[in-house]
Formats: sequence, C-alpha cells, structure tokens
Amino acid sequence: MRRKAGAIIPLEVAILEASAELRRAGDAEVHGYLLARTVKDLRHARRLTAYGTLYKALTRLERQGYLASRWEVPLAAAADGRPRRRFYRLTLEGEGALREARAADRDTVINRPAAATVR
Amino acid sequence: MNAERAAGLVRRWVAFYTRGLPAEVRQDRRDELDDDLWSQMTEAAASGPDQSLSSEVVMRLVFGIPADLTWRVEQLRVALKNGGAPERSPTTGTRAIALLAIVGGVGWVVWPIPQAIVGRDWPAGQPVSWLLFFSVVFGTWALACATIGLVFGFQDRIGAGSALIGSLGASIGAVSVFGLFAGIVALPLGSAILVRDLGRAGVLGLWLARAHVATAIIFFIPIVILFANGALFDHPETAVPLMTLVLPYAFSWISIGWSLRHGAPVPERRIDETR
Repeated sequence: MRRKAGAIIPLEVAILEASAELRRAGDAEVHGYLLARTVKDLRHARRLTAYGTLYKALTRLERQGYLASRWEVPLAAAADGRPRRRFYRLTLEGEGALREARAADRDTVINRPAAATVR
Repeated sequence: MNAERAAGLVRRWVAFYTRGLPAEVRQDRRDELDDDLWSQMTEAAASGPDQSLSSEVVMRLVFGIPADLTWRVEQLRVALKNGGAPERSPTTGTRAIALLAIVGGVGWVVWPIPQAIVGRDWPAGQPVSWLLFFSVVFGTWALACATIGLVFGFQDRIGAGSALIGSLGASIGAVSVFGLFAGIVALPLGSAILVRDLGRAGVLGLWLARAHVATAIIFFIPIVILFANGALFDHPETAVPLMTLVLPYAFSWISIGWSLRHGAPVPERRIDETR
C-alpha cells in the first residue's frame, strides 16, 4: 500500500529520536551505522536495521527536510584509514516532526483505555 | 561464511542494484554502505571474536532488498524528472543509426519467408519479386550502413580490431547483394564482433549485445546448410524452417535500433571496482 505524502513511519520516528538522543550526548552529526545502532538500542531490537531499509529511510527524511547531510572531506577519512563518511544532523523541521510524532503517540496511549471502555 | 565474505556479498549487491544510475548517486550509495560495513566490522572486532557478525550482515542485506529495489526505482524516477536520462546523449548521428537498424531489421524480417517459398529463381514481374528485391537490397544496405555508423559513431569506445572487422563485414555484406551472395555471411560476422565490443563498452546493453551475437551464430546455420546441400532450399517445406532462423538476427537489429532511439548511454565516471 502506498503511504500518504508527508506521513512518517515508526522507523523514521526512531531515526529522528536517535538523532536527537545522540545530539544530547554531544554528537550533533552522526553517520548511518551509529544511527542504526542507536535505533536498535532505543527500540530494544534484536538486530540492526537492514541496510536498504535504513538508507532508504534516511534518503526520505532528508528529502522531507527532517535531516540534513554532508559528506566529510575525503582526506579526513583517509587519515583515519576508513571509507569516507556521510554525516546526518537533525534539522528544526525534524525536531518539529519528532515532537508531533511523540504527541500523536501520547494521544494514542491516552485514548486507548477510554476507547476500550466504551461499549 | 566469514564476515569479510558477507561484506563482499553486500558490496556486490550494491554494485548490482545501483547499476545504470547516475554515477554520483551510485558512488554515494556505495561509499555509504562501505562506511556502514567498515564501522560494523571495526566495532565487532574491538569487542572480540563474534560468530554472529556474518549472519547479522547477511540478515541486514536480505531484509533490506525490497527497500533497495524501491529506492532504485525512486532514483531512476528522480533522474528522469531532472532530465536525467542523462546517461544518454541523443545525437542526430545516433538517431540515424537507430533508424537504419530498425529499417534494415524490418527488411530482413520481410524477405526470408517469401524467399523460402518462391525459391532461388524469383518470378519475373511479380509483386513478390519486387518485395524481395527491396527488402533484400535496401534491408542489407541499411544494416551495413548501421554497422558502419556504429563503428564511426563510437570509434573512441571500441577496439581497433572490432572496428576493422565490423567495417569490412558491412562492406562485403553491402556488395553481396549484387550477386556475390556468399558474402552476406560477412555482415553478421562483422556486426557480431562489433556489437559484442559495444556491449562491453556500455553503448549497448550487455544482454542485447549477447543476444545479437547468439542470433548471428544462429544465422550461420541455414547458410552452412545451404552450402552443404542447396537442394533443401528448393522445397518450401524444408526451406521455410531453415530461413526462419534468419529472423532472430533481424529482430536483434530492430532491438538495437530501438535501444538507440534516444541516444547512447554516455560513459560513466570510472568507479573503483576493487574495493
């Protein structure tokens, strides 16, 4: 099924959540693997998000303006002896989307028992 | 399977599903996945031997395949929207080659079956003879011109050997219609070698090029039989099935023309395949 334009799925909320969490911990810019690991911890998942799923979600979040990215200077990567890295950071729009997603989540939790009692 | 092999599998898969995308998009995705693999493996190595690392990598690969494929479709759509068929350079020359290939291919679709039915002696003044004349002569000339056009149009992307054989084959094929009918075999021989090279150079799809070579080989079957036992071509019941073997070659030319109608793919930025 096709999802609505602008709709945000739980994995994407988790990625925004992870970005916010890492920023609080002092990492304003984070790479894909670190996000995958943080998402795994936050969701208490058994395994890391699949490569395709993760990077497709990152592409979409960037296109929506919730994340911004930049490629590091190749020399920095070469100095560390690793592949060049793409860094993502949470934008103001991303923070707003995360707040909305959290609020919607709270509403769902608050309304659920009430709905269950109405017969 | 160890972790290195699993990582190699991921890299091959990424190289596969990013094929044909704009070079920058392709390279970015490869680098991003490379960094992810590197980070995962470095972290695993730091925390001691981990037997589950390879299975974790393979699971991440497998569960992400549907997303990879839909991501590819999106990227292609974006590339097309941005005028991205970018990877093609539509020049008048390439369009002319495409047209010649299609016209020649159609000509070669038309003549084999009537030829098999009427036999070697065309009935004078009959419409079928005119049909055969135009389809054989103009079809062969169109294919010969298309072949020479491919040589000249993409001379910087093919080897000298295939350029020479392609040109010679086309020239001999073109003059064969004046009565030197055995020379017709030179055309598929030359085009097969040339198109094979064009497939490797990325001007034509690899499978299209392979199919062309295969159809050229099939084309030789009736020709060899004709030389071995010409009498088989005097009876439509044996001649028609044999001449049908010419048709795949004709259709492969139509496919080549069709694939070049919007131009040829421009060479991609060189990507380091050894990483």
